[in-house]
Amino acid sequence: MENFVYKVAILEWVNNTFKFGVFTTDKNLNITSWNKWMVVHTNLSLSDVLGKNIFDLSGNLIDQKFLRFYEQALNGQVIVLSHVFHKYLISIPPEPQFAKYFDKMQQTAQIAPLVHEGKIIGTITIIEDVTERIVKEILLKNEKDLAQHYLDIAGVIILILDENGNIKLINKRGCEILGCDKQQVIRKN
Amino acid sequence: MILTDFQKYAIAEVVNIAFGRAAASLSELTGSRILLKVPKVEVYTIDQLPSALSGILNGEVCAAHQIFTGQVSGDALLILDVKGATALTSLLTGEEVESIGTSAKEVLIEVGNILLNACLGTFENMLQVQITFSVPHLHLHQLNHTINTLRIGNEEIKYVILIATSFTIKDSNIGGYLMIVLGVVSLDKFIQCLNSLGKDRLL
Repeated sequence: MENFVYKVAILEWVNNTFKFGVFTTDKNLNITSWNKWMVVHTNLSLSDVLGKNIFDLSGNLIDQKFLRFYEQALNGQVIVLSHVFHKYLISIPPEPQFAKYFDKMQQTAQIAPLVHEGKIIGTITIIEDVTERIVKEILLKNEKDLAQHYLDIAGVIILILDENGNIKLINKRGCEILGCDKQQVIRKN
Repeated sequence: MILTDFQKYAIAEVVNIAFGRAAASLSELTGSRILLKVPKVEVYTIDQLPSALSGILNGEVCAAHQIFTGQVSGDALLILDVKGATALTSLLTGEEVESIGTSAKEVLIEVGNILLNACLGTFENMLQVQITFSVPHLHLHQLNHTINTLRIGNEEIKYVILIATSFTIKDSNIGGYLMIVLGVVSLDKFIQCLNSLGKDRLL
């Protein structure tokens, strides 16, 4: 009995508090659960989506191209979809402060079989909003590119070494004087 | 435990089939033609592994790790040295990657996941065993630390099917290892299944 209570408490926590989107489907990919994160970010309530096929949700929330991953999950495989290759699984806007960088929330997702008593009864999808992290990566890269630009217009060799004496950065003039490609010297002692 | 030439050949063939599927998925994902070769299959005990890999993989390595359970259970890993992992990520994404940051880790997890799912899925189908997969993780540790984490668990002797492979992308070759770690009971079952495949299904 106590075990059962804890299982219910965990489910309630996933449903109401979890910082990731979670939804489950049956074997026909009809939605069986939809947590609060999904409600908040899609503006679709549980009653709006319950029993509907994931590819028939309003606003074409999930593109048909992801069908093969759900088929793999129904065959027992766990699938990871990184934002680098897929950008997003569910088509929803980002938080307003990131709208100038992306028109869709950037996501990393996992799709897994939902197993009960050794049998696959459906799928579970977990979605993480990685937009803020990606924006920070872009801003960091922009700053790095700017620094590289200043280094490259310098007329002298500029090298940055790590604590072991390995080259971490070399400017354009340095490559010209040494007569080598940047990739040939990076990480060399 | 020593595999016969036929058993090694059978594993290489099954992995070849799996890698064909994985290469097609990776090519579709990245928009670049990707080839995967399986040059060599060997079996070691887990204690022999550090010396088997010394001089080939040293220092810090990236390991996409997935646990599988069922009639045959164990660990499956795609291991690359950091330089190889960085180069692979750069080639797959078309962006210059200098270190294994969070986004690069996600790329390697997805690539590892595609490869390991293809291999274990093909083993599952061809050997007619049922396997359940865990969510994959990426470890970035010293090789010995990664090997030590595989020793955790029961006292059963563990064996490693070590499959040397290489990715060919845009005229570049990147070497890596696929490791399937099995306890003695699972390896025995695995070999029985391989033997039952028969040469006619593979040749």
